[in-house]
Amino acid sequence: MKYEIAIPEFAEGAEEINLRQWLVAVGDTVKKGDNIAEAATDKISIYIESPADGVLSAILAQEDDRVLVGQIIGEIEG
Amino acid sequence: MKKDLIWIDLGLISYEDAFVIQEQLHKKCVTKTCPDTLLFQENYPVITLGRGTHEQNLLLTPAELLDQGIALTAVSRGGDISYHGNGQFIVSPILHFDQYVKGAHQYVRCLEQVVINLLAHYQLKGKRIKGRSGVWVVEPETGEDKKVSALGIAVSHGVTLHGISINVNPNLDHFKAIIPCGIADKGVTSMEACGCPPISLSDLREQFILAFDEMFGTHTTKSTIDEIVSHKR
Repeated sequence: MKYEIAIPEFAEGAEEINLRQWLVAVGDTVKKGDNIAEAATDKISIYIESPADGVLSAILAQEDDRVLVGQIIGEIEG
Repeated sequence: MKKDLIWIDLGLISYEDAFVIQEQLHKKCVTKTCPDTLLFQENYPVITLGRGTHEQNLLLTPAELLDQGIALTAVSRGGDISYHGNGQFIVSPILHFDQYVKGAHQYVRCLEQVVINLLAHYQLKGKRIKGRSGVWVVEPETGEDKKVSALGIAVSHGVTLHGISINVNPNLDHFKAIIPCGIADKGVTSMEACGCPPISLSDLREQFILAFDEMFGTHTTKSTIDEIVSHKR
């Protein structure tokens, strides 16, 4: 089953959000709740958690990309 | 009903030692084995490099910093480069922010408002400047807007880390080692440089807690790090 990784709703209101870095690579095994990516506004670092146990199967946004709340940035195959 | 928080004051401590404690508290807070916490500290002189640091904002070499007794360390908060040192009030709220406000952005703005309200208690008029985080005052001597309080937070597993610093009476010359927060055209000041009589950090802490509790609808009581480390539920 495929699970989408999204920029969390709690980042709503920030003028600009950048995907700072991926903390795992495609093919890596992750557990639900692991921090797998980091996004940032001008004053807030936001750690993005894996939505499920599985393997990071796709990266849909690259480091330094500007991203939006709710945007799907990757997928977990679980 | 008001939500109960605790506060812990680490006193004067190195940034690194305090951050180890902060991470331990964060883990406990995530697993709800300790209450949401306001962690206070004062650091020995250190320059911290946030995740958004631009190298050109560090104006001295590590060796030159060492000569001035200033350490250098990379940190996990957002934002650019910052200085911390004696005479600076630092508070890191470690809490499930979404239980108090809607969204991380609103949380940051509420923290800024707590600082503005706190400064008002000391007859200082703090303000925001559009597009720039932190709290600013007009420095009487120059008539210029200067930053008196910086802010940078991280959110992991729904719980915040890092927080706010307020310049009470730090050595402002130390800020010349950096372009604080990457803002080149605005300077940094302190409460004392703006005419405040000497303030103890413990008095400021008491006033901060009052202002925080009023803003977030909380009830914050004292604890110690030993009580939390041994805390079990």
